[in-house]
Amino acid sequence: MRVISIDREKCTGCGICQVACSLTKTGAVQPSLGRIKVISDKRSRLQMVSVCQHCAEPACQTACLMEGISKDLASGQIIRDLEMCFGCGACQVACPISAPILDVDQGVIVTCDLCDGNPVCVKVCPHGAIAYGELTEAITNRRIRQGARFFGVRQEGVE
Amino acid sequence: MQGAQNHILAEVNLSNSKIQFNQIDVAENLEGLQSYELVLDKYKDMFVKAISEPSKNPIISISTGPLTGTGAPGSATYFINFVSPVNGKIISRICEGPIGPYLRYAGIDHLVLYGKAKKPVTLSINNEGINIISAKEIQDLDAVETIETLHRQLGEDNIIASSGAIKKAARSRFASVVYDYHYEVEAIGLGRVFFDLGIKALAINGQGGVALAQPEEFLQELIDIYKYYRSTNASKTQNDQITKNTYLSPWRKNDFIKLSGQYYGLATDSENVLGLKNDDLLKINQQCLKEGISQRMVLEFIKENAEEKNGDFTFDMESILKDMEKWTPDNQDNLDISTIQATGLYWDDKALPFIGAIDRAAKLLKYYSGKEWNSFHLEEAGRQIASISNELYLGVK
Repeated sequence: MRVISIDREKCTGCGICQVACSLTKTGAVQPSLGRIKVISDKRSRLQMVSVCQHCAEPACQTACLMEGISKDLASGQIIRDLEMCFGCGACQVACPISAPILDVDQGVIVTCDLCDGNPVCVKVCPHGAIAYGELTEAITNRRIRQGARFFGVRQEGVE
Repeated sequence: MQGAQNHILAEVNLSNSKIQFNQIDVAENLEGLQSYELVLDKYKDMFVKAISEPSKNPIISISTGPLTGTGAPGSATYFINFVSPVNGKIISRICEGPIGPYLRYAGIDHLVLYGKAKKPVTLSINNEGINIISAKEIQDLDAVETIETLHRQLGEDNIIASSGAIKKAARSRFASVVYDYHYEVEAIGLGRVFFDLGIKALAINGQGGVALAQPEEFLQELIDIYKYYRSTNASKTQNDQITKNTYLSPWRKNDFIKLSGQYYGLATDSENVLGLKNDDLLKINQQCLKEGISQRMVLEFIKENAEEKNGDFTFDMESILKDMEKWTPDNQDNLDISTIQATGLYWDDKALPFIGAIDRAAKLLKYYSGKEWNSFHLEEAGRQIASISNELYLGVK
């Protein structure tokens, strides 16, 4: 399974990935429609980026009223059937990192689709903080640590 | 979306709460490169009036360049014109930060504020328009408390730019405007002009975007620029990068200093005359941001007036503020705005030190506007802008 991973030691929260993502998906610079986004850490007030983690057990999938979200078992990618989405926002509420965003132009909820395996955010990141590659144990551990620190997400059995 | 749409100028008369939106034909001002001068020219009479009595006739114009907010390195650049409460001269400043980009995302390329509100107000700016709302409940809060409160009331998506407490710091000639908790608008006395206008804060929630004529080409150019940057910085950590003063972020420059595990945007004593330690700088930084007083001017004041330099440092904001009111700083000159900066890119030798920066800027402008721009055109535009600028400043001085 290939995933996007963010090294928060390198990330400055500059937001270039968000701009490039919106440019790719909408043809305009519109950060509010970027599927990777800059968020603020409430405690330190510092900024960093957050993006769909294509979770092993996706809360968004469980929450979707229309059963329009599935997980591709081969690639591990979350697949959204936008024909079924009516923008209710249940997946946004369920997601522990609030990754889904409302595409106001289409009236549907969208998330990172990994740009068909060639994510633009990885290409533009000036700090080399965003990588796309196989999910390793090290990346998994980092996700758990960062999930706990920045989003208060706890995994059972992990402090 | 198509590129190079006409620019929108929003005008707010605080005296009668009248708000107007007008279009500016970008073709008539070099794709918007002359934006700050155009606005200065349009409101020349008001600026001249403000010179005679700045507190009675306050006016501020905020202008963006064509590439402001486009995501290119340093594209958080915008321009402010106002009459300084310190020396009564027109100040034109290049500023950085999310205020410019988010104004554009809210559909406004130029914002002109004048008149005087009867009671302190907050301007809430979004894609629906501009709302003038009472700031009664927040008027006595300091700058950071104001940002926290307005984020809670209006939403985290808002970029809040706030002056200090109306009864206290905002009255100082060295009052600043603070945004994002960590930063101030680097324009001397702007917070005092906010006070004179009756504005406590701006809350900008821009959910729209900037249209590009050739988005794919524009994105490819961005990828090339950032690839170049990454190739020279990939092995460095964030802590190394911060010393490079890269102006890289679309929103702000990355000149943070790491202290106690956190990053701070500190004004520094560049010549190290005071020999202040980072911890002391942090004390000044935190106090200035909280109060809404220009940290750079506080440092300048200390530098000029400190009796004992390189000694133990104690910092008492109240007594410094009191003493500063009798002080007139030397350095109040306007910055020269380069052609590249006029596009909305804060590039200089430090910022993007590769050969051909003007070619890069011209290419971005071409992909933004869909018109033929190259380095020759941009250099020629620079000469025109300088000439207009000289005439204009001679006319209003």
